[in-house]
This record gives sequence, C-alpha cells and structure tokens, in this order.
Amino acid sequence: MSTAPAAARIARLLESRRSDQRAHRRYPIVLDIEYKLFNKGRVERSGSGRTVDISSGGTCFSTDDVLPVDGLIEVVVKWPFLLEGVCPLTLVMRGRIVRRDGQRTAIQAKQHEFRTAGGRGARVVTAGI
Amino acid sequence: MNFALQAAEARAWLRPVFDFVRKLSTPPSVLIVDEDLGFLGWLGDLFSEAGYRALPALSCRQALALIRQYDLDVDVLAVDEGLPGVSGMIGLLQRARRPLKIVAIRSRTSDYVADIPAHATIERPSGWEPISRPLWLKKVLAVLKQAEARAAV
Repeated sequence: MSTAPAAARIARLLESRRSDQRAHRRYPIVLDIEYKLFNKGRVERSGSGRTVDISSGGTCFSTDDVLPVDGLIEVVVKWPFLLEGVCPLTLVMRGRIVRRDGQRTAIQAKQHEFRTAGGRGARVVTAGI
Repeated sequence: MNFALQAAEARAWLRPVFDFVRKLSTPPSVLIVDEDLGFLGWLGDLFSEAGYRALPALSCRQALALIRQYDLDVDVLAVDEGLPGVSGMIGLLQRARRPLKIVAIRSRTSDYVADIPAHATIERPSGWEPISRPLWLKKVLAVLKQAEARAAV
C-alpha cells in the first residue's frame, strides 16, 4: 500500500494549520477600549479597558471588571487617529467572551468594522468578516 | 456684489494657500489596506510611532470610500498585493497624487506575486514567528526609506 495519500493528507493538514495560524495571529497592540456587555438584547454592563492583543479572530483586553465567559459583548477600540483632525475612528468588534484569565478577557469576534463618529454622525466606513 | 459672494470668492482664491499650510502642519499619512485585522492594527500602530497618520481599511473598495468621504491625502499606500481591486485602486490614487509611495504587503507562505508598481515590500510574519516591536519598527522605517528613495527616481 502506498503512503503517498497519507503523506498528502498530512501536508494538507499542516498547510491548513499554518494558514489558520496566520489568519488568527495575535499582534500585541495596546489601545484604549470601551465595552458593552449584553444580556437578552439589553446592555447589562459597560466599562473600559485596554487591548493586550488583536487578531482577525478577536481581541484580548484587560479590565478591572470580571466579565462572564460566554457573554455577548461589543468592544469599541479607539484608533489613534482623527479624520480631518476632529473625527475619531473606532474599530467595533462584536462577539462572545471565550476566556477570562485574571484581569484579561478574550473575545471571539463574529463581526468587526471600522466606524467614524463625530460631527458628521456615526458611519460605517469599512466592514469586515 | 454681496458680502457672502465676496467671501466665497476670497475663500476659493486662498484655498491653495490654506491647503499648503494644512499640509505643512499635518504629518504624512499612510493608507493601510489588509484583510488581516491584526496585521492591519500592528502596522497602523508602528506607522503611527514612525510619525505617520495611519488610515486603516479592510478592502480596496472600503479604502476608496474612506478617501472619497473625507477627501484624504495619501502619501504612502501599504496594501496586501493579493486583494481584489488593488490595481484599480493604485491607478486612482496615483492620478490624485504623484509620487505615491507604494508598499506591497506580501505573505511568506504564498507564491503569489502581483504585478503592482511597488517601491518596497513588507512580509507578513509567519504564524509561529515571534514578533518584536523594536525590530518591526526598524523594519517599517527601513521600508519607508526604501519606498521614499525608489519613488523619487
């Protein structure tokens, strides 16, 4: 029996693992955030913190609050730049809390988008996922 | 002639002067277009530290919408060379500004090399490769220097 198909399967598996790692690689970026925790469609709690890392799959942030694993959350990351010098640009991530480790909370984002908010009103400029 | 009309004419006449002063007083801008949100944020953070205003976009279409919406001036374009619509976007940006410095974002694991007029290239780190902020800041500064030098030719 030839081992070629098995070797090809392993190579494919390794390749998919490699591309998965790249797609969800976490980058150490520290930015201010504000979050809203939802329960049955209503804002249960809100607070602030700082990102520890950001990836395409979500973000990990630190906060003094204890947030429940599996809770639905919206995280607004403040991008360090103002459009036209006045209009803030934010990254909005919505998803679920998947892990909590001390003051660190990790969320898996189901949706993310860049938004502008300011004099011209809130607008989605770029949307992702 | 009423006063409002005179004021409008004066504003139009002085506009190039205002633009020039604004340009002198604002740092250069880099438009970063990449689907990988983490790398987009990482590059944005490093370019900001290098003294640039970093504009993020997750696709070429969205980047163009951002530029049109805010009438933004782009000095450097850092773009994933494999994104759909990249050539069209570069063409449009080059018509608006010359010389536009172009940095191609390339994946190490991909063999795909797009035919875009890039002045410099930056490689995305592999999944397992450790990343160091000081080293990456040096890399970004070197890439900017290279793009500047090649665009000036």
